[in-house]
Amino acid sequence: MTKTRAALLVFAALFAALAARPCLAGGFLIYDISGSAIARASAVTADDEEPAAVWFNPANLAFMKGVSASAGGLFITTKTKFSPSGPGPDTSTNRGNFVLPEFFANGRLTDHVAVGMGVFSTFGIGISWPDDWEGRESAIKASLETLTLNPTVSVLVHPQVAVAAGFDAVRSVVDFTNGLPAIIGGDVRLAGGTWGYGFNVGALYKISPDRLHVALTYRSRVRLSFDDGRAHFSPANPDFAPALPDQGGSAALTLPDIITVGLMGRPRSNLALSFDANLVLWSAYDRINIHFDSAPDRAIVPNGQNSFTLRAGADWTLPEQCPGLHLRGGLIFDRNAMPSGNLGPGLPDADRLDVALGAGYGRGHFRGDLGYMLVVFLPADARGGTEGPVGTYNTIAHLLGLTLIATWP
Amino acid sequence: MNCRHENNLAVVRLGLVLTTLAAACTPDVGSSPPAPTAMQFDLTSAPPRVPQPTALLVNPATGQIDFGQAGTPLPADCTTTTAMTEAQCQFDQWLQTLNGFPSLSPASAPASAALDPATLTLGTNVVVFDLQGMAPVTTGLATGFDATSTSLTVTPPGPWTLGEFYWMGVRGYANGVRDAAGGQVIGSPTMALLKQDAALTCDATDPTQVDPHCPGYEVVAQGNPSPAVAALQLFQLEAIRQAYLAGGGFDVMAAAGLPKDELAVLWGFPIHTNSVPLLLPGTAAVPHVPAAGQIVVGVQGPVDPATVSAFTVRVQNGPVVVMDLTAAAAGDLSAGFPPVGAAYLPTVGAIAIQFGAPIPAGHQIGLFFTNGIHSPDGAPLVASPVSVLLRLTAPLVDSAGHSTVSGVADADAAALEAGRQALQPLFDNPIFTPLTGITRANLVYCYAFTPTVTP
Repeated sequence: MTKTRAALLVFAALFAALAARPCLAGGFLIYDISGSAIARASAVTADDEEPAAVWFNPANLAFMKGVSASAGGLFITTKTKFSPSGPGPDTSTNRGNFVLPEFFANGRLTDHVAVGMGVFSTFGIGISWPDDWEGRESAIKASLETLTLNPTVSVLVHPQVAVAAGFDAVRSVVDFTNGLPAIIGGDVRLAGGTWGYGFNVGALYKISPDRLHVALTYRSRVRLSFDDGRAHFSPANPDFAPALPDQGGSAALTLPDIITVGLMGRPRSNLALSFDANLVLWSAYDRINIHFDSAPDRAIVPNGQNSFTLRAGADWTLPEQCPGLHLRGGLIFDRNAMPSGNLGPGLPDADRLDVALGAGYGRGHFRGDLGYMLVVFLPADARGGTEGPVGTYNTIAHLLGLTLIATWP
Repeated sequence: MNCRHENNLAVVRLGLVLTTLAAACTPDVGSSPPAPTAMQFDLTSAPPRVPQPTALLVNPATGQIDFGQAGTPLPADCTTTTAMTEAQCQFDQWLQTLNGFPSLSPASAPASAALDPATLTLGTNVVVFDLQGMAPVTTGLATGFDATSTSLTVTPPGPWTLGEFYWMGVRGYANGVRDAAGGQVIGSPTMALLKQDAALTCDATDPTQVDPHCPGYEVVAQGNPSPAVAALQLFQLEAIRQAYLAGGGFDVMAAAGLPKDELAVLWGFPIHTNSVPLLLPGTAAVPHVPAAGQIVVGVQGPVDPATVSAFTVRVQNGPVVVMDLTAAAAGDLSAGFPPVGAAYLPTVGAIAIQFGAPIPAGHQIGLFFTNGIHSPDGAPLVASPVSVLLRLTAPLVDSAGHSTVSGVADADAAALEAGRQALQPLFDNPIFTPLTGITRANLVYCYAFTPTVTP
């Protein structure tokens, strides 16, 4: 019974992990992936004592005692509205509701060496427009899903300094549906799956342990080459059917490098303030050439630009009144990674302001963290007209994360 | 320590399970049924797979056939061409001298697969419209399917009417012709564009001004690596669409009960206006021998009788030249040019050649007419395609025995090549032209045969 339930849980988790997902940080990066981190605006690089440190900064693992495992999920709901610059009605996406599970585990091998493992989703696109909307030729449905398997090793090189390195194996699946030109009608669906590989390193220096920490992490870019993709053409006008047979195709895109610096300061013993800055090299995501076996090739040109994200978080504890309780909050400013001249409906990126809050409670071997984040996309003008219609995108997203952690000394 | 070890193993197991399962999650995009059979209209293939004959080759400025209209202008010197056979080039050069297509041209429309001949019903699924008569042609024409060229064919019982313009449409989709397997037959992307109600160019004034979001451009650009080339092709298609509209093609089809949305293919073609001495071996369009000393050659269109006269050696340079090829081959030049008379018979529409004595039995006779024969309006007669093929300097079959001229079957080409080779020494003989006035350029009728009296 226990094994069966475990297997079902794994299956359920996997299907959920590979369901379409939205983009929540700049570009299509989903940076906020644990309950406690969400509540602190993910400003946790220099202070993350949970298994999810595998993602945020694995150097933290070397300072953690015992063996821990966490399981969590993010519920994301998002909706985008497009207002054309010319005459015509506004168009809204179908509301996207997504659940992304995350699994982490870590343990100390020796007093100086710890290992960790994470299975998580940190890049994704999930958006669905009405079939007949004016930008249908640019996107009707867009889905890019990733699942990262990330083993890591963390080493305490000094009582106050730890370094870590990890390997990223990224399974990615794309599934796009675009409208065909109006005279042809109908649509084309393209899908493919592939693996990409990268690495990550991190360092944590506890200048004054538990009072002042600094951290630096780097995650490499990951090249995803979809060499065995399939394209299914469904032209509404049958005259075009012989010219557009189902066929193979290929495309490649690159997930960007991420560089993060973090600082944690504890002005009082029960209050941790943290600040992170991410630099995401979205310039790696500049052009996607889609090659079809016989249909004409096409290109998507997002022309991504390197962008930064600023994060500030706070973690307040009440050790005397309510031991084990954490109250958290945070703010994020996230810079748009896609220039307005190349903005399209598949990835209607924008500058964003995020407000986060949450709480956690731990007792004995167990802890639970809940975080909520409101993501307000500032109005984003699409001016180019090459990657989609000209107009303005407005998006609102809500993110709710719950993580359960078990720790054994 | 053991506990920690087991927990680490659990982490590894979980990772392996997820890795294995994640690898199998590429979405199934679905699949399309086999593409239906289509009536083809591909201007970009080589050679183009388009209905023939087609008015698209008529230069509106000159009114004459011009292969430059299709973007494939002919070279001045056919010996230099590599894009086509030399014979094809020479034949097409002759076509370019005409203001319409030869009246003996069969009409055809290529298909991507075999059609069910039983569904090629004239007047319903295959509509032919006589534009000058402003009426559909519902009888007399034979429709069929030629498996060799994979084409629907429309063949008149005799020649097409001179100076006439014919529109032809094929009904496709649910209510139209069927392929050999009983499936629906659809149109082509080109035809879909030509059927658009709005201008394909979105009213741009020149190719450099086309809006990239113009629906027509979006379609054409899909098949083009170069936006500039796509814009040019779009303008060419729009010119064709305009020509279809101006020619009333869609309107006459609708009037004949074939609405635009059921048209799988539509094309039109003019027949030249010049009178022509008919020649099509294997049909009635060959010389008739009603008596041992008389040969009658049918002519389509009016002829000015005053321009019809026979050639007599050193006596009269008439445009009707008759040779006894058997006698000439034996070295008897006197008997090689037997004395004959020639006259136009307006009641039967034929040129009659009267021999002074019965034609020697078993002798091969050569008949040659020049364009010195005119119609009453002064327009010279033009040749029929077979006469042109027989006078070409280039071979009509290649080393593999295949025809070198499109539209001419291999067997027909082989038969004509034998005649061409037999006549070639005559045309190349240095005294033939000075003696008779006949050149390859002015020859409008050329045929060699052994007469058999058929009263």
